[in-house]
Amino acid sequence: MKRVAITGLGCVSAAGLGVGALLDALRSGRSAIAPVQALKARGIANAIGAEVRGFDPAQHFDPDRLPLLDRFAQFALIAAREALAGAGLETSVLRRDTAVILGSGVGGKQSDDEASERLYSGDGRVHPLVIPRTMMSAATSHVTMEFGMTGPAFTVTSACSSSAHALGQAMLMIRSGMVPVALAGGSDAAFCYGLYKAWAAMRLLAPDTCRPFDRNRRGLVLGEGAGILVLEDLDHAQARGAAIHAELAGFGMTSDADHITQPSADGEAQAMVRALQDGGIATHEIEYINAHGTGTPMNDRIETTAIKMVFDQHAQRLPVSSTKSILGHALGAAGALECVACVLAMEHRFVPPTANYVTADPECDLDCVPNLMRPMEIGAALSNSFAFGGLNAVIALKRWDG
Amino acid sequence: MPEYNRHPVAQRDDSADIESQVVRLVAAACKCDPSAVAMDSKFDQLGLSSLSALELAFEIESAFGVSIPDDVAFSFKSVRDVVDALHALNSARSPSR
Repeated sequence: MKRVAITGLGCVSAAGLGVGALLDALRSGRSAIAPVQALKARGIANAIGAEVRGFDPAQHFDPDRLPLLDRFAQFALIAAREALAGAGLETSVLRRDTAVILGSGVGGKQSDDEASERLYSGDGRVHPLVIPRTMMSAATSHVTMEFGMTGPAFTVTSACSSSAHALGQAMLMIRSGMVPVALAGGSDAAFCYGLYKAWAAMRLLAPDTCRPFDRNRRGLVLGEGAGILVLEDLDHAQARGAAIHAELAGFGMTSDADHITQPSADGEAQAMVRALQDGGIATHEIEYINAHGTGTPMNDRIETTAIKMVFDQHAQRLPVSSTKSILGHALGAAGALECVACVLAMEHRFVPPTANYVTADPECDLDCVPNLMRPMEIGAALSNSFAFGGLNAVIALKRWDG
Repeated sequence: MPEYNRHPVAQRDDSADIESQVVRLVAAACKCDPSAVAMDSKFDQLGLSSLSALELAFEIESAFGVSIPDDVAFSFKSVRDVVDALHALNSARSPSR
């Protein structure tokens, strides 16, 4: 079975465009959560979120192309460009052998929302490009078109695990020998009026900020962005002398088969166990977990229980942080953004903190690395994604020492 | 943006009327007969699931034309808590002149 190297990283997050901005935010622990300009403009004055601010699409895309690109596709393209450039694959002749597997939770929801508003409350007309802008697979298609990648390509959706499942799927395709290279990850752009109101109606949004594992946590905070990684057959990467960021060593997935919104510790624990088994990693070898850590009262309590079920005594010594405290919950993009965060943590030898942490919660008694990053060598890490509807995906990463 | 959920505000100062409406909505959410719902009935005793509780809060907001803050909604343990909250919201909305 082939091994899978990570040879390119790209992202768009509330920290800014690019991996450098993400690295700065993770190191400083500076939360990007703030009032959401896009929603304030729509009359929701008190909405907070982790918004990609100061982003001008016209600086990145040709005017002829913009009418076809929802914000989630724009983010995916910008992240894909960065990942490919970093991997040194921009001008590769491998294009027909490269897979593109991206995840999204809500796809072109923003364009869909605007189209619905015009249809039901405006002049009753529908713009002719609504379908290609809003289809869930639009971002994947645009990435294949921009880079001329004619290999296997499709979109994965599993709510907040979407891009983690996409990475797992791409990993399996490389392991099997189907393709030597894959662009994988995902994107979402959730700050539209209708979707925000729908999240608010579920009473899951924190009014203040995202405080994972804190006793006074009051809910999640929405984010947006994209994370895209270049995955590559390790032999292939070494043969062309590519720089290797980390090894994507294992992937575990389960379904709770239980509840459409509430998580299950058993399902989460089994997904972690499977990722460890798949990667041939012992529990004591894991030195960091990037938690799903949404900051809802229930998620963090159940996730703590699941981590203890898997790691037993080791759980007391194991740093577990939630970077959603910094980047918000970017829904379908979250898993890939957090995978990039884990890779950066390994490469730059630090554990990203859980920001906004004030008060310990006896029900979340893990080392959640409060507020300050911790310089540390990380040999192996897990990245947890636990979606609504019980669809769990856990990525296991190993540091690459060359 | 249409205000789909803007129902006529129920101008009901009559406590008994508020109570009977709340009981009716609680019974519907718990899929039980209104006679099984008393003012001191606790939602966990009535078997109200978390998603049904969300829906109940939504139906109460619609029926009474009010907006119940999240922290108030999460504090509801009994039918009486809901009725008290509605009285509080009503009096907050009609200031003395």
